[in-house]
Amino acid sequence: MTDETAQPALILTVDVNQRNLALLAQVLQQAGYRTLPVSTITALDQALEAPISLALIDISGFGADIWQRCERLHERAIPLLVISARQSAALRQASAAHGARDMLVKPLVIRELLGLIRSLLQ
Amino acid sequence: MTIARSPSDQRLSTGIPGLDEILSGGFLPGRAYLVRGGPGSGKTTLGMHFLSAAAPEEAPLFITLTEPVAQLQNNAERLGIDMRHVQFLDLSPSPQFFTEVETYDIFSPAEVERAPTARKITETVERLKPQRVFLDAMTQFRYLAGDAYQFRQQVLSFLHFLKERNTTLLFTSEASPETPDEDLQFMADGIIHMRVAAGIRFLEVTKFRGSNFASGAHTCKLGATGMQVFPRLLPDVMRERLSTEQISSGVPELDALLHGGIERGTITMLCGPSGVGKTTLGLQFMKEAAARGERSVVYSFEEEVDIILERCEAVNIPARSMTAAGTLQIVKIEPLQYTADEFARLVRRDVQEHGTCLVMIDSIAGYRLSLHGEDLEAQLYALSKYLQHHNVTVLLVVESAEITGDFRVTDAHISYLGDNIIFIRYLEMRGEMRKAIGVLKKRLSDFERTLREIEITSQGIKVGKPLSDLRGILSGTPEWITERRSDG
Repeated sequence: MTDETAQPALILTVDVNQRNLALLAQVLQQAGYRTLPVSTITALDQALEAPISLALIDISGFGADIWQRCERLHERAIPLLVISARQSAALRQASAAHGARDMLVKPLVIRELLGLIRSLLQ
Repeated sequence: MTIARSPSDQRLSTGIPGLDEILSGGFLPGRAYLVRGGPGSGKTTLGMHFLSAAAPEEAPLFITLTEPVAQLQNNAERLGIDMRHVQFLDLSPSPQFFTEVETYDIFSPAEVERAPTARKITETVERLKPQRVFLDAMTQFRYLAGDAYQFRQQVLSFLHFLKERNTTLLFTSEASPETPDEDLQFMADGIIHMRVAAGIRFLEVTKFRGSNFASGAHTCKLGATGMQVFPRLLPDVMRERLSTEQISSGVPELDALLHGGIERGTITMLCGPSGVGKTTLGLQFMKEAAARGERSVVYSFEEEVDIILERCEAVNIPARSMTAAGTLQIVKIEPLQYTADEFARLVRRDVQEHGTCLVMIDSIAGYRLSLHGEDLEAQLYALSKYLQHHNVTVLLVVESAEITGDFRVTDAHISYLGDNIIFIRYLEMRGEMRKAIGVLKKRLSDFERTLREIEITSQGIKVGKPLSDLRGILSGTPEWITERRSDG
């Protein structure tokens, strides 16, 4: 949430798993954010033009074409966090190379996630 | 006997009479009890009995985290356990959980499920105000807790929550070496262990705050009527009665050998090789008891009832008319049908209900082979002591392995059981096979130190004069002292 806008910050959540999306939406909305959930590349492409403050991208289930979308968000100066199912040095490197601020490994700890989002939006 | 009970000593029946007996009456209200054991050990069945024993106004509540309600109800019905007044809170995973829709990995289950689960439980408990709760299985909460500390805190606060409402909780734990449950054992007010070993089910209580309980592994059965528990008989600490009343055998020479007979309430071992007449000797005492109007029971592990009856008639023991008069009962114990605890219960109940005075166990070897269980001899000891304390005279038939040769009473470790040891053995005398009877031990009186010849005839048991000029009576071939002199 930025201080200037009256509207709560809009967070783009990307995940192929609907239940994951629902849980993310629940947690983020409880913390006072608005969410824009997408679960496919096509939907993601459409969502890229929205007034997004931050993006959470769970790369599980996506192909290499997800990196290009990460770059586009980065180009628009939208902070993004990549979420991965496993700890991997190669993935961490790829995330950083495509503009991610950090790579988080599932399962996420809710309190830590919210802290990170808050600091990125300041 | 009625004991006025203070309100603090009220008990809640577990729904299983044998278990109530073990727990000195049942659970204490407002406490939390743990049932632990491996898969299929009967934990859930025990819980069903516990809830089923509740009055409808106790609003019994079943919280299930594993099995779906329909399946539980179905199982209860099959076991004949009435669960109609039991309320259910189903926290088991739905079938949809398996499909994509329900699974998630973004957060840990501990973070996602804990709060809603806890809310559902507290809401249900506050709405129904149950006095009995069964929770199956507490260990599921382990997956909803971030770590061991959180799990412990959650369980403790849940136990306090129920305790504040004076609710009695029974909860299960799926324990295995990989997932120990010591933490739950510390928190519970009482622990019931269930296990299956070599096809026998055991139940053991190791902790029961604020009350006595019967320790040791008790056997139980899961059958068409649910669970039955057979409390193990422990040698009770009653003072021993030293009865001097002697029971006559009805054969004057045999009584002379015993210096009057065997004392009431003692344990007598009848030893000897196969076919020598041990059972007949025991039945002779019973014939005499019947004449005094006393009831006797023979527990036969080997022979069929009809064969025993037939044989008795052939040697002038009127077993059929004794049976008809109720002074004799012969019970055939089918092999591998009973556990030792169950058998002990059978014998005890008969003594309590019919005032039986004489009990014969035929034989110890059969007992050992036919019954399931652990520590069979210790249990036979406990049973014999129980009978003795109830002034029942016990006859134990002991088969010795060797038909001839050097004499040995029995496996040495069992002979301490007997107050009296009477033996019958084959003797070779002047090239002829004969039988002799003797006494090896008699705790309460003196006895003849010589052997007497014994014969079982159609008129009954015939015992001769003391064989006082025989030596080497405990060896294979006794010799006449006079003959030996003439030889030397």
